[in-house]
Amino acid sequence: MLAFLKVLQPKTVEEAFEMATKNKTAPMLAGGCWLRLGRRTWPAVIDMAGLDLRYVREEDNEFVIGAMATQGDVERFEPLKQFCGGVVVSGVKEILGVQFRNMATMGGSVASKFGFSDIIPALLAVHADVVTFKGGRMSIQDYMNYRERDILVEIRIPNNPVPVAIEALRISRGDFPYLTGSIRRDGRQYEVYIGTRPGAPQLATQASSVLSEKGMDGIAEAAQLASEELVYQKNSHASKEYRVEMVKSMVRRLVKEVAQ
Amino acid sequence: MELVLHINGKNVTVNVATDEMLLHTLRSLGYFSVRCGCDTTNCGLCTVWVDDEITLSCAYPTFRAPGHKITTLEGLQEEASLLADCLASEGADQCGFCTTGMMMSAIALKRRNPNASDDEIREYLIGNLCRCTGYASQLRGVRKFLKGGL
Repeated sequence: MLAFLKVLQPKTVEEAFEMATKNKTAPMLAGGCWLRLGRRTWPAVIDMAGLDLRYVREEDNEFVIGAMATQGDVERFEPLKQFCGGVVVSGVKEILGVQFRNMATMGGSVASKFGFSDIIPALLAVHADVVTFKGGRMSIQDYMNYRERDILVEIRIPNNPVPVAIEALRISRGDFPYLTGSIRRDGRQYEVYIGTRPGAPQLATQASSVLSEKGMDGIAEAAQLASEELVYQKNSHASKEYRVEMVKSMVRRLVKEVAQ
Repeated sequence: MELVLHINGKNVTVNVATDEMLLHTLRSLGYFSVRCGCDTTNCGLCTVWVDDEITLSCAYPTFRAPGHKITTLEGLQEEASLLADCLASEGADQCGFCTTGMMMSAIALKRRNPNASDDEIREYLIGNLCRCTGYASQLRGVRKFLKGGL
């Protein structure tokens, strides 16, 4: 359920920021899909629908995704279907059903920093930046550790196609994933990101270094390192042991995909 | 709060609580094709169209609805009737509880892409949970509907 006593409806990002500063506990209501899962009654919510942030476009050799663009908007944006093998579109396409993706916003999906996010590993792999009202532009990797109360305005993805691949493992189609991952190869440099451990997606630094140094010859070592250097835990979707085993196979598949 | 909603081509004035969701508003107005299942954006029973896009009305705050075109199955009677025949002829009716939400998805698919492949049909049905049929009969029914009916 989503219960609240008052709705604040800013018309500009500045106004929204002011309201967010004055109402420290008020959640920002974007698509509202995840807030539905809570049980709290909020004294107030800040409705982001009036901020004119629903857009997906190409601009100055970047893809620009407004915070209120829905996952469906991204999925249907033709240039993104072609970019990096459609990795960003793949990152949203498996999320529940069409009607859910027509509501869930990109801003809500990123700002929530959910561990089970399908889209964040894809955005990490394509080196997306996030623009916030107060903090300005920052890499999504920095944003994952950004703790200020701020308004996410847009996501900017440099149109720099390099081999990237993502994977989300699920018990069944339409379910939450129990493990997510992405990989980027830029020349000889590899970056491996693992999410849903069930923590938020994180760079596997040692696995990435081994792959950058040894390429395909380091694949088994990198898979092992990815299973050891990050923290894995159990939740209702998978045990810690299962995740640790599955991540090894996932890393091998991802490396092979970007090496081709 | 008092709002004017545009539902199935008509303007309707409603008085709703601040946090009321469109699902409950529509049902209170007598649009009973819109059903309440999980009430947490998972099952698809409450599917309506907002500006012709399939949307889960259980998570759509009513205060956002003014200025948007809301469509329920009651507003799509001709297409709904044909689709219902197609589903029934393929044994896809069973308990019927999920059917209205599923019909909203199937009709939206036909309007967006009348030549949809089986994979695209499945893609549109994933968001509508059915625990009777296993979806095979619905796939056949929707396929028939896209081809123009019986």
